[in-house]
Amino acid sequence: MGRLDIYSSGFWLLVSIYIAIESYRLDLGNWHTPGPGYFSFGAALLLGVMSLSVLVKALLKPPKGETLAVAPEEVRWQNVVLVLGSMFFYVLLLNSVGFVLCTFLLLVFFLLGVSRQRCLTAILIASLVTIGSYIVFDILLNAQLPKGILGV
Amino acid sequence: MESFQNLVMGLGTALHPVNLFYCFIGVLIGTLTGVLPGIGPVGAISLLLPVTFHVPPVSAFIMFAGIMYGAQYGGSTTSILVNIPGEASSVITCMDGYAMARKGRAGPALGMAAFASFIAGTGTLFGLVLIAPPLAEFGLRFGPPEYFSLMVCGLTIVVYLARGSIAKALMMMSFGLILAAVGLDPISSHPRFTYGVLALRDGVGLAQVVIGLFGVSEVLITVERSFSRVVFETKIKELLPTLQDWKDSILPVLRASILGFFMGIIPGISVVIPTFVSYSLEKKLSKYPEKFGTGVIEGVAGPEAANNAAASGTLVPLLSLGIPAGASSAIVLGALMIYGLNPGPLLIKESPQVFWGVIGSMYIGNVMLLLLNLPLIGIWVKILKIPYGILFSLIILFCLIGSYTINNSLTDMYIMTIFGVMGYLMKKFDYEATPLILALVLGPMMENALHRSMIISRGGFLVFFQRPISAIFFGMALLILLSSFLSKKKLGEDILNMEE
Amino acid sequence: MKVKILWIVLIATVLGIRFNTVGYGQEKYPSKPIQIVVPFGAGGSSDLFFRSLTDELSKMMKVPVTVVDRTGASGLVGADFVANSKNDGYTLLGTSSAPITIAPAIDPKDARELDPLALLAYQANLIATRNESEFRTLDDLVEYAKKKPGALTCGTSGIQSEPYFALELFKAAAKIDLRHVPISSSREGITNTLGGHIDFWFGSLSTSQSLMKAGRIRGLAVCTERRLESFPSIPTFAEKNYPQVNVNLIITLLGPRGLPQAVIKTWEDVLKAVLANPEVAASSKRLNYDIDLQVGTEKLRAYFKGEVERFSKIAKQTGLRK
Repeated sequence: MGRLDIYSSGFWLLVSIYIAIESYRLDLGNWHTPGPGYFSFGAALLLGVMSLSVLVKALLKPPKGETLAVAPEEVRWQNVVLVLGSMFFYVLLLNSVGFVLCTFLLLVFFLLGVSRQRCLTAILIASLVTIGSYIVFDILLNAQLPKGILGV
Repeated sequence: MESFQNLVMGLGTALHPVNLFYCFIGVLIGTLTGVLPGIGPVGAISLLLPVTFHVPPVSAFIMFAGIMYGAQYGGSTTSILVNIPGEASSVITCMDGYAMARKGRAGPALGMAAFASFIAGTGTLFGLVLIAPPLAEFGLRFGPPEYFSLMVCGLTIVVYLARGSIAKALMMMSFGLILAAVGLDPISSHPRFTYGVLALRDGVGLAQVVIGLFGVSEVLITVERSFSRVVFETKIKELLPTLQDWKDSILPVLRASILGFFMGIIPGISVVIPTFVSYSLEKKLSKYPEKFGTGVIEGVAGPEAANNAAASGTLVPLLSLGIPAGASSAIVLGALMIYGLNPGPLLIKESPQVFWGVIGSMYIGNVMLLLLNLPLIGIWVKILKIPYGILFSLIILFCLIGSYTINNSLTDMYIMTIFGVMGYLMKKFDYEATPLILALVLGPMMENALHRSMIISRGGFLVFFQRPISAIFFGMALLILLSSFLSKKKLGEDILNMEE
Repeated sequence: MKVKILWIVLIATVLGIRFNTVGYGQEKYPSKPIQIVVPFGAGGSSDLFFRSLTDELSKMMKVPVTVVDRTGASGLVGADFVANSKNDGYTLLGTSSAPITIAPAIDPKDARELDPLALLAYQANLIATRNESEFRTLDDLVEYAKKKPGALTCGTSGIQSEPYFALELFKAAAKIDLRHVPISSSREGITNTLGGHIDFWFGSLSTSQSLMKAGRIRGLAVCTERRLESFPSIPTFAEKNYPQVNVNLIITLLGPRGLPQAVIKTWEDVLKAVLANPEVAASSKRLNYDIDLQVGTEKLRAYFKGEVERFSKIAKQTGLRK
């Protein structure tokens, strides 16, 4: 998996350099009184050395074609993006819109937009799950989910 | 022999109908909180606290204990079914448990998890009754230097956890250690990598990371393919472990019970670490280590036995010194104070009825849990029959709520989602999540132990080798590293993986 | 599915669910449920204290008073939450005073806009050692520490905690040097003391009281004004001529800045009645708290200001505050 390893280990190498610099700025301290940064500094060093070794190995081996689990044309990137995007939106809106409405909308979106269920099925399942999770988490387990505009 | 008389008395107390009722309620709620990620036994107990002011203390204590060990049973359920560990102690169960579920063997996995928990849970209670006091004194010999070397030793088992490249596993381990450093510095309280976010001052929460890396990433990797594809083998082959499963599992369960119990005795070692150790041990001893991670039942049986055994092990310091091992036993002890009981070394002498009643109830509670969990398996596996197009949305919702309920915090939900993305990319680029989790568990303890050792020894590094227990752990760490790097097989595997 | 529903019903009955009706009428306080935000973990000592009060408070207020835990950043997450809530008296902060006095002393940015309603109770902090230790009294400690500066270690639950400041005050007053070992979990701290890995432990009474009763841990001096009822043999720091070492764990109730006068008055009356109840005093005692009610928002604000100043001085001397 030559090329993938080059990208990923390169990325981790950059991360390790960033962490090492930041840790150094946090103050490494000395052996008597270890500073705030020395622990992450040590970990960053190990990360750097290891990613360098993976990078070098990957560069030395000629790429033999990709070994992704699924052929690229079969991957539905839009699903991944939709799911992640709606998760972020859910958290963003949760406080103002409230748990019940927000959850209902999220589920309807998932069921209609991502997995293409029939409209009626989607609304039915979404309402059932929303009510069910509200009862279990908010009422029974007292989880204090955000109330929002509807007051629930 | 006095212990056994007391135990019989305790069983008598526990078999009282009222106490049986509270025991049942306790294990039921425990199972439920174990199944739901985020909401742990601590939350459930504190919720029930005011309600129980009006019942006898022994009944309340029996119920709280039921919640605690019930959660250990429930935690494995979601790990096996949907790859979300209900509790941190069942992270490792995901590796083979979830793989078994995808092969249509969710039933045996859940069944073995329940049986292993039962065997470990009840078996170790005998150890508890017999040899607790001298062991507790031994546990006191663990000071900061011992903890540090134990943590170092624990980190080296990453080489056994790695399915693929060891180098990549070590990378993830280092990143886990970096994540563990997020938050306030333990000595100077200087904020590190918090970027002004208040919630990050306490560090990156383990549960958020676990839910994201395991649960969300698994959903993402699945939805990127067509929904018409079958994710789970829907034909359920069997509901309970087969004879062959038992043959494969019985030794791992026994080994893990002993290992978990003794690790549990050391105060401050959570029930999480023994699961990792047990898994690595079984992989090392196995005739087919390469199959670990693809759905072998030993990978479920060992860790599940280990966490329950460790849970009884943690009762040792509690029993003889009154020092609770974790947050959940601490709150139970706190609750005892409200009842006017005196938690601590004198509890057994002053209120034997309460103490032995609870121990007795644990035997009964374990039987109840087994009877409760076996029929539930039939229901749990039906969840896998829900079409993935619907199931995935439930899992995501579950992850979102679970991460929120830990601290009632939106920041935690963002963190969880970010780790979902990261877990997805890690899967794409062939990195494993378990070394990261192990490092995140061990990291803070390791840093604290190092800090304290350095203060106590005034910066003398030799302290780690001068103290015998500490030196033994360093020796073991060295042995583990040497044996794995020198072993031709593992090295060959590693090179093979590189060449792929 | 049926079994699942059965579960829910079962648990619902056990929990004795109360459906709270939300009323928006603001004419009279209180007209809807009140939540007390505790910024420390469930089962912690301030959490237990407030939970043991909720029944009585609900009875007096005639609305449900519930405890909510919002943990994080040594209590700042909860303080932040309450400071940013509506100042209508329905969201209050119930906490030990550390987030109000210690956090701003270390970093002024961590001060939050809050109105104190009352100090409710206090728990003694004390310095203790294991029973086998050669240090039998506080004088033994001081004497040895003067002979060998920096040879002894003393643990606290970290620089964000009251005992740490008590320790620093003691070090300054006795002119000795003890090496501070921060151990955030007091359980681990006391274990390390028992094992002899650290020489002393400075912490709250609840951590060590059962071990002291069992004779495994010996208290050397307490920070309270008078000796403890439960351990009358332990001298106070004041008796040993260190009266400035008087930092205890104080439970306080606060609200967002600008609470209506009616809310403040209601709470003062209710607290007076509830805390005077002998049953409440007894249950607090079991949690190692002594009731000592003090009210008056202006007076308390001045008190907190004084404490912040006192702690800031220490924080500057020890280099915690840059």
